[in-house]
Amino acid sequence: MPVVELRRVTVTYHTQSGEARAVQDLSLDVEEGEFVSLVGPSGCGKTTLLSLIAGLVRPDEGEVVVGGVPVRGPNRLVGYMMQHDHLLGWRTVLDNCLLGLEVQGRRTPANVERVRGLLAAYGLAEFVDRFPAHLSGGMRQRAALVRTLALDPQVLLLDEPFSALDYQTRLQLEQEVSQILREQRRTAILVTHDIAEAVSMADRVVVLTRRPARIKREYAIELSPRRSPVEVRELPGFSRYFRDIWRDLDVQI
Amino acid sequence: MSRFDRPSPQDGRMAASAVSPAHRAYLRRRRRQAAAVTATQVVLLVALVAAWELGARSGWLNPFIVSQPSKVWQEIARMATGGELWVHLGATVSRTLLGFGAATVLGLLVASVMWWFPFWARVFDPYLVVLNSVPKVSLGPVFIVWLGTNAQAVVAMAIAVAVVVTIVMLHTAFRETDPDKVRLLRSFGATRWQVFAKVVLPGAVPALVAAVKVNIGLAWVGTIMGEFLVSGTGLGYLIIYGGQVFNMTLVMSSIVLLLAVSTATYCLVDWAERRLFRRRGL
Repeated sequence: MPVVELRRVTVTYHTQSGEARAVQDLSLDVEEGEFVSLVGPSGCGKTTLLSLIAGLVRPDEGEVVVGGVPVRGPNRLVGYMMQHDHLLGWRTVLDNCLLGLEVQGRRTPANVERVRGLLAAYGLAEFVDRFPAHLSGGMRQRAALVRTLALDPQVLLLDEPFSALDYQTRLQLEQEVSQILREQRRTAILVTHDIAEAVSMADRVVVLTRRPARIKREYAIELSPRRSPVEVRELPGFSRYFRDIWRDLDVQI
Repeated sequence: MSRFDRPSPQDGRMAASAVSPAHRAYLRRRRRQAAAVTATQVVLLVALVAAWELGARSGWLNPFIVSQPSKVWQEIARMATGGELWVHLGATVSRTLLGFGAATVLGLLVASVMWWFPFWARVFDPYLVVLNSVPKVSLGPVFIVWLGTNAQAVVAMAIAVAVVVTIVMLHTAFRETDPDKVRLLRSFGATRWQVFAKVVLPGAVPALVAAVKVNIGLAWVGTIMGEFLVSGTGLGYLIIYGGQVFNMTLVMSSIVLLLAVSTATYCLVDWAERRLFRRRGL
């Protein structure tokens, strides 16, 4: 049974100047442990899809089901990681990473220790009690990842989490995140503009149309045996996927 | 830490022991400039006071109109030994602090309520614009009639002058909270209260500090205006009384005292601000 199901979902936004359909009659299943990348032209409604799964936006039509239960609002199965780290400047790194647990009334000594362990595992041990202003961009985004993982979500929603980083840091973090997610067999849905990132990290790439978002095409990425995102880029099949998706996106410069 | 990470902000600096001669010269230049500024400030002050004193003594300035520093000093010493200095100083400072505290708390409360109920924030908006525009001193007689010719009217004046700006500044800061940070909290399942307590309010602390800095000045304005109007004690009263009986030494002495205490309160707020932000590495 899929862990995330979008069933014929339609979303419309209303503003003063008119209404805009962000998503039209879209259905998508994500299996447990699967890594799915969503790519599409900018402003095509990718973030809306994640908001739907996170329970931050309700569909006008259709249904969103996570873990077999229809989504009615934010729920604990889902962790959301955004483009910017949004670490709070007045909290230490540790307190930032405990924010979600705190909100959910789960800031127990055991959980605090677990989060300390996560921070140490991701190379932030010496920054636990520092403030975010002392961290580099890559370390900040890594802290944001720990903040998301602290809630132990079954499904991770990654909303262009690497796009604000410089290229080297981005590759490094892509590698780390995909390793973490595969080790822990978590389900992940990645929204990205970066075709190479989409192909190198995912089991499946879903190409969306221009707004309103519909599914244009899906690619099962078969570059097995599974390797790290950096190695995958070297494989001969990689550039074929890249070319095909590039063509699907029909980028007009 | 992986080697792909950008260096942390400290890494660009060289250790203090390995300072090159050029850098030492640069530091010396900076220090010398800072010292020159301070020295000029002191010289300017001394020169002004000296010119005032000498001008009054030589008859070039009329001491009856401008008084003179030595007399101001004697007057302050006389008031201090007589004990009345502390009465007036205490009255003005306590009214100012009371007005300042009340205006800050009240402003924070109203701004919070306005954030919580956006409908009412929109309703109140034009009223705030009007209240912000009206010269608060014009409300003086209203406070006197309602509250009597006493300290309460003075404090009310101080609050009236400071509170509207506080409301506007804080409500603006609340509204400008990054919507993505709110989204993040909501994705955790946060309640509206949690969003306020964990993101909106702490995020508005810089605005609160700015408001407090403005407020302490405005509370002084309100208190002195209030004392001009109603009071029988306080520095404002001494200034207005001195002016009425043409005792310019009393007026100048009170102004000098006012300069000292108002600057002291501002420095206190400024010191608290720097203490608050230093720890965050800002």
